[in-house]
This record gives sequence, structure tokens and C-alpha cells, in this order.
Amino acid sequence: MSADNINTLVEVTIEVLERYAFMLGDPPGKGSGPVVLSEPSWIVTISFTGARAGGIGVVVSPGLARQAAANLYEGAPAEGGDEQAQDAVKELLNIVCGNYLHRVESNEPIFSFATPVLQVATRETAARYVSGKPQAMLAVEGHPLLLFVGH
Amino acid sequence: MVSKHRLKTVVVGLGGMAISDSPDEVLIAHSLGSCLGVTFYDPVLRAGGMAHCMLPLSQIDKDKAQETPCMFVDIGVPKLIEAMFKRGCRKKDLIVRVAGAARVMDSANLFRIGERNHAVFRKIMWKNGMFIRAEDIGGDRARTLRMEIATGRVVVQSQGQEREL
Amino acid sequence: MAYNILIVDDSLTARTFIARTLQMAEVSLNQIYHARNGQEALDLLQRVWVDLVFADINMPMMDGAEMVRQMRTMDLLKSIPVIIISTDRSAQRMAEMREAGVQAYLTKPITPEDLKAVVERFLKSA
Repeated sequence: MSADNINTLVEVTIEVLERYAFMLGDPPGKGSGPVVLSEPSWIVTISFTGARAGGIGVVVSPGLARQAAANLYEGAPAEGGDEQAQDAVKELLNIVCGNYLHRVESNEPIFSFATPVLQVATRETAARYVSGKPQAMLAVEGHPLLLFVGH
Repeated sequence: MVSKHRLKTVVVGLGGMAISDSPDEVLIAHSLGSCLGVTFYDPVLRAGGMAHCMLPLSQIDKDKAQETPCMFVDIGVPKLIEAMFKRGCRKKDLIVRVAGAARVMDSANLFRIGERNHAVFRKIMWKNGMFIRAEDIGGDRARTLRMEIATGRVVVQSQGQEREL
Repeated sequence: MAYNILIVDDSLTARTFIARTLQMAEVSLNQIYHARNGQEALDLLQRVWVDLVFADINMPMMDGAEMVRQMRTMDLLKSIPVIIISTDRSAQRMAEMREAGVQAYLTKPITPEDLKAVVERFLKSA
């Protein structure tokens, strides 16, 4: 059984953002200046069961999610509200989770993934939510993306 | 097949771009490291274009972006597409091939320049509804990219080996 | 011949991405149907004929694995090619799905080029 690794999660997230959403992310301390959570923030989590149980999550700004949706839905008719943006960030986390487990689990066990869950929170609530969890802040084209392990 | 000795070489330097419909010309981009060599070929008009881009995003240097747009993938590639359209090429006819985006310039790969060049290129293709026909991307080798205008043949040379894309 | 294609995924983003790529690929399309889980897909397949199914695995209500198993027991549906597009990269899962009778297995994130290649492979011979 392998342990969670926040650095691997950072690497995988950057790769998935580049490959699927065509977005460029900078790991902590590189590229842009200090990054802070947005007001409001969206907390998205996904949990898995199988060889072990666990979960990962992100806190993103709605702006990041809208940008991802704009890239992914290119040419598709826009739907009302933030439905597309919320779905886009959930699908991204789903893909990150699958790729992350593949990277950290050497013997390729089977996992079942729950549907990602999104909640809209204030910056303070989001900060409290991730407090004490292994975490890393990325800057993604000027938007904050806080990754964390646990749910 | 055009005999090689009669072909005229047009070098596409760093930040450069070239378009040709002369069957006796070959477009060539030398020593692509983390840079991206992009080719478009229109088999209907027998016209080809090549760009040699160095960095993903133009926002880091506005002056350079004005002066040498093809230095940057985000503005250079659309400029090449636009130039092909001005020649009369149609989007659906363009065959897209791309090479480079290696890690050779930055061994620790701190800045992921190659990967980012490739990601921004793919975004432009997706936005324009275009597929990449072939690519030779990543790794740690330098590459030279060559396109024959008469045939549209695109060849990548690397470490003494040639590979047709 | 124009094809009917069914995309089964609980994510609207994933379905839209696949649908747009199919349109870009200039596959001769009659209709693209969407379903959000295996049960919706099976219900739909009682009413419409499709030439190809793209399906995710992890979905609420009924997952892709169960959907494929049920399709393979139904005379009318058992010959329809199913291509899995899942975030699950484990070799065990892929083997399990091959046994269940899926024709191809792509892992997310997919590129438009991956999808085009697989569509051309299946719809040319369809």
C-alpha cells in the first residue's frame, strides 16, 4: 500500500490541467506572486474506496472553473448559470484522482470513486476546511487552486 | 519525388515563420529543443507553412510579442494559420504536424517550457476545431524539422536518425 | 451511412468534449444521444438503435461495468461496440472490462486525437 504524497498530487494536477483543460499551472513559489483563496471559494472533494479509503480535494476560485469550462466547452452552446463551470471542475478532479492513484499505488489495485461533491464557501470556511490537511497552493493562469489530501 | 540537389532550403529561425508554394523549396527549423516546430500543409494548393516558437505565452514580453510574434506559441500559431488562410487555404484541408517541446533547455524542468508550448498549441488546435495529424514531442532530444513543399512530406531528424511524421 | 452514437457519462463536461470531438472528426453523424448513467443508457437503448457507445465506468445509479454486462445479455444490444473512457487506469480494471466485452478502453484525460483514432477504427468497419 502506498502513502499519499502531496508533491505527486501537484505534478498530476499540473499535467491534467495542461493536457485536458489547456491551462498552465505553477507549483508553489514559482511564476506568480503569493496566491490567496478567492471570495467565494468552491471546495470540491472526491473520495475513493478499495485497496484503501481516502480522498483528495481542491479549493478553486469560480474564475478558474469558468476558464476551464470555457476551454473545454469551446464551440458548445452555453448553459445557464455556473452549471458548466461546476461540472468542469468536478470532472477535472475526477481525472486528477484517477491519475494520482495510478501514480502513488504501485500494484494497481481497483478503486471505486464516489461522485465529486462541490460546495460554495467563504474564504474563511475554505481555509478552516483544509486546515491541518496536507496541502499545496498552485497559481493557474492567475487563479488560485489549493490542493489537499483528505476529505 | 523531387531530387534533393535542386531543392532550395528556407531556414525558419527562432521566432520565425515561412509559407511557401514553390515546389522546389524545403522549409527547415534547426535545433528545436523546448521550442515548438509547427507545420501546416495544404495538399490541395500544395502550400506549406512552418513556425518556430520558443515560449508559450506572449504576455511576458509585450515588445517582443509585437516585434517577433512567432517567438510565442499563443500568437505565433494563429498568425501562421491566418497567413495560410490568406493564401487561400481552407481549414479542413490543412494537415497539422508538430515537433519539439523537449526538456533539453531546462534539465530540472522547473518551468516545463516544452510541455507548456505543447499545451498552448493544443489549445489553439482545439479552439479552431483542428486535429494534429502527427507529432514528435517531449523527451530530451533536440530535433530538426523539415517539410518539402512539393510533397508535403515532413521529416524529423534527431540524433542521426530520420523519422517521417 | 450516418451513425448514431450514445455517450454515457455523468459529467456534462466529458459528454460535451466527446460530442465536439466527434463533430470535429467529420464522422457522418445522424444523432448523438446522451445518458448520465448506465440505467439511463439501457432505457434509451430500448427505444433507439446506436452504432457505437462511449461509456464512463464510475457513475451513479448504474456504473459502466454493470451496463456492459447487461448489454451483453440482451440479444439486440450485445453486438453494439462499447468504448470505455474512464479515469480508472488500473490494469485489473481494464482486464475486467475486456472480459465483460468492451471493444476499447481509453483513459482520461483523452485527447481529441485519441478519440478520432478510435472512432475511425470502429465506424469504418461498422
